[in-house]
Amino acid sequence: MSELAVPQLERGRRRLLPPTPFTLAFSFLVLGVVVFLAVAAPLVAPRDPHAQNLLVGLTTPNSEFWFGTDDVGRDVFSRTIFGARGALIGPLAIALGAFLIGNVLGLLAGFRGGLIDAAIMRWVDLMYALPGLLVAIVLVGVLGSSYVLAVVVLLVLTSPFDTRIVRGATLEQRPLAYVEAARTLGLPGRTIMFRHIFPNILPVTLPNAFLNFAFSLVALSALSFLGLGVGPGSAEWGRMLAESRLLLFENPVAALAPGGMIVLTAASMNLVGDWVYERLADRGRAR
Amino acid sequence: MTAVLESRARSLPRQAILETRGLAIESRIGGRRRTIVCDLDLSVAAGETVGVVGESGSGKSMTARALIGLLPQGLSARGSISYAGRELLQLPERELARVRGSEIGLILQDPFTMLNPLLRCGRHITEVLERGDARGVSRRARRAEAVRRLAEVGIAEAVDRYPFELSGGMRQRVAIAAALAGDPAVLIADEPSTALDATTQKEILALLKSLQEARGMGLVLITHDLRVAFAICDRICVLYAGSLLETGGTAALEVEPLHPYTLGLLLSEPPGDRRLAELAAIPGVVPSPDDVAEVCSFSPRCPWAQPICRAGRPPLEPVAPGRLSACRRIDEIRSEMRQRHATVVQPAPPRDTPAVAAPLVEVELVEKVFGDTSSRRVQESVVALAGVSLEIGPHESVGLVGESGSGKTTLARCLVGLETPTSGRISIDGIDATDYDALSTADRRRLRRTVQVVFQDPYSSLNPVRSVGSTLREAIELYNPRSARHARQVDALLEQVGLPASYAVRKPIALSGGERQRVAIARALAVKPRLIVCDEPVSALDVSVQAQILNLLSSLREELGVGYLFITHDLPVVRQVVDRVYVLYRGEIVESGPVDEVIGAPRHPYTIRLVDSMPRSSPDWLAASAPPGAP
Repeated sequence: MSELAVPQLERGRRRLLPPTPFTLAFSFLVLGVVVFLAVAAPLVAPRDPHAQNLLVGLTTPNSEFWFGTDDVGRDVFSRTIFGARGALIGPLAIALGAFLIGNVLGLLAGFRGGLIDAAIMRWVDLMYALPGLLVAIVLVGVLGSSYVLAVVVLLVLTSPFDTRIVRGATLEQRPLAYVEAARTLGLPGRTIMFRHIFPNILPVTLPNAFLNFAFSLVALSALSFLGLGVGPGSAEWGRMLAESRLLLFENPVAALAPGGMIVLTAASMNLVGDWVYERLADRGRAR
Repeated sequence: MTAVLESRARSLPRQAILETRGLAIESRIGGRRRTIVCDLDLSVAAGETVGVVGESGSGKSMTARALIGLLPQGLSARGSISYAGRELLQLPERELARVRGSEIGLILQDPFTMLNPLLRCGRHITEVLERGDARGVSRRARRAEAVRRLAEVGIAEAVDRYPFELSGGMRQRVAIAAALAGDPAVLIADEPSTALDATTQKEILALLKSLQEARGMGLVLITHDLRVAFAICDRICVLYAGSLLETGGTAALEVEPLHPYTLGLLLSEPPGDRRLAELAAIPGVVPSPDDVAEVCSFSPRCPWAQPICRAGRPPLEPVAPGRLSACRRIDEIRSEMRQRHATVVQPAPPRDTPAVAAPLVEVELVEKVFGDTSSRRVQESVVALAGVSLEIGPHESVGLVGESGSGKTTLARCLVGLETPTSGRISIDGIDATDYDALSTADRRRLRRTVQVVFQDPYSSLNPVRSVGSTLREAIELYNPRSARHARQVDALLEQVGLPASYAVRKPIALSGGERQRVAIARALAVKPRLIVCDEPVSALDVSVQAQILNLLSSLREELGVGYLFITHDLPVVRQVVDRVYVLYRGEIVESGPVDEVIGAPRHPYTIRLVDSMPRSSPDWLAASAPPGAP
């Protein structure tokens, strides 16, 4: 009846201010550049990122080395470019993996209920109770530092959060008439979960994947910074930041370049995630 | 206090105290302008009850809000609203706040969200009193006054209770007492009884009417239900797509509407006292005010529309003493309208009772208890069904009538396997359908093809991200995976429910409520069921659209031989579509039989009360049950 008109009219004021078109375009540009650098690193980078040149030693930015060199004469510019790979692949694997695990487990828990729900959610509770980064540090410390291990540990730690969000969103959709109609039609549970409910909770879960990306980029860098991710000397932003922090006064760019890239990429991913949410939330509502 | 009220009622002559001239309401969201109401003239005098009747989208609720200066953000009003000589639209917010409550009161539709859940009921009243004359009065005196105010609406005992402890009807009474605590001269009631059960609706309307008469208040009743308006209003204004189409005295308007829309509205309302062969539905849906800005707003749906109706907007003009109508052709078509009015209301011949056959559905002593049924916590459980038995024959249409909380929806959900009964037995087409989960896959498939369901809420019953076509195709493929002609079957289904084939590509958001309900029916029909459980399928729809859906259900039954279990709280509706009816009260069936007999001559006290509560315009309807404690 008439009260249905009101929420529509009030829609205009509920939203937070969306990012301006300029910020958004800039975020997309940053992400585009990072992806391009990751893919085309060997073609773009002027030098081998690992080649040491003790003759050159530590230099500040100059026409030959744009970002200068570190204490063993490695080209910071090339290293920053190659660092885009590690910054992209790990977080991408974590965001995608957590999205998959979270959606499958969350949909199962929310839609099936009962024992399945109880089992999944107790596991989630257990993971919530663990201090995430601390566990990561201990595990990586015990099993030896490796990038893959850091990614796997972060993935296992991230997916319970996704599971809980997806379960909540599923519980919200489950009593709606379209789901009940699908059940009375006799559609199999997996069809209802993945073809009917999943697209409707996408506005919640997809932007969350973007946030996960940004979070795990920072977390992975932090682990590398602590020396628990990639091995010493690798062209990885967190590791570079750690190794160059002692050179802050000799060549500040060596630390600022990877640090700035971490901040820019994570912030851009967050903004793009917000934008995706805005788009998806409007879908099915706009005519 | 009473003496003051009486003197106020006497001192004001029967002239308008609240009046709008050329009121226009516009919304501006995201730079897009939309008209909601335009050029509205409305007036209410002291001691008068004016009904504003309109379907959804007519702008009636926003008019109510504009009158009291509470438009939602993004909406603005122009024109003039004058109250006792003051121009309300010009008043600053601080003065307007003083007018609200003490001069003009407002009651909203939903009693469940209207009261602050953290405040006791008495506090809702004293809060208003503190602002008025009772300022500085002792707490005890204020409390005594709150008790007196609540006694006026018949629930003095609620003063120390929290809203959640009260039923919907009692909450609405508290809301009325709170709205009246400032002794307003005008009360605006926006659908005050729509969210309530039929019997409670009658009590609330009777209460409003008696309070209005005792206090000599002006009452503006906003409603979608012509019959409610006929029952308690002195004058009626018919609002459609943001503009007034007709106004007139209630008695004259009911006897002879002088606008085709009013006639259409009147005829599409199912009568409670007889069954019609076909309801006179108005085709189409309510347009948005901007689409009909330069024409007669009803012309796209009017059977008498001529080019002259589309030449500019017709003004509201006097057509008879005390009657205004915005129809240009009213003089030419008046006799035709009178004729149509007379023919359409002829009762249909009684239906032949279908030959007795083995029942398709047998429900035996089904019980359903929600919550913990273990012995220790049995008091926390809720009994939804307490041993219900019923039968539905093949091709038969059976009604299940009851108020909210009677368990009617629970029974429907048990039938289609969305709930499992606590005890008892359900058998459908020879299969034991008590517990769907315990069935073999083949049996479950057969059951699904036998019984389908149509839900109440058209806005959630379709998946918003999937097109109409893919929703239907999925249902067809499920039981007919090899056929290659799904697209043609989708078209055929859409045609069956009266929608063009082009709708297959549309998303639900682009459909109106009635169209969505048609798609939901098509989805149920896709598996060619023998019985469709309709759970309040029309209660969320406008009257004119409701008639379309009821007609569709009747014609589908004749074409396809499909039977219905029709669940509703609305007796006139059930009379139009079913052969037999069961009356459900607190989880038990209290009466059953052929629908004409049960409604025509009810025997159980509850059924009698239910039948009595159907709105009628005769003056004794409200008088029949003066609520306790009313002055």
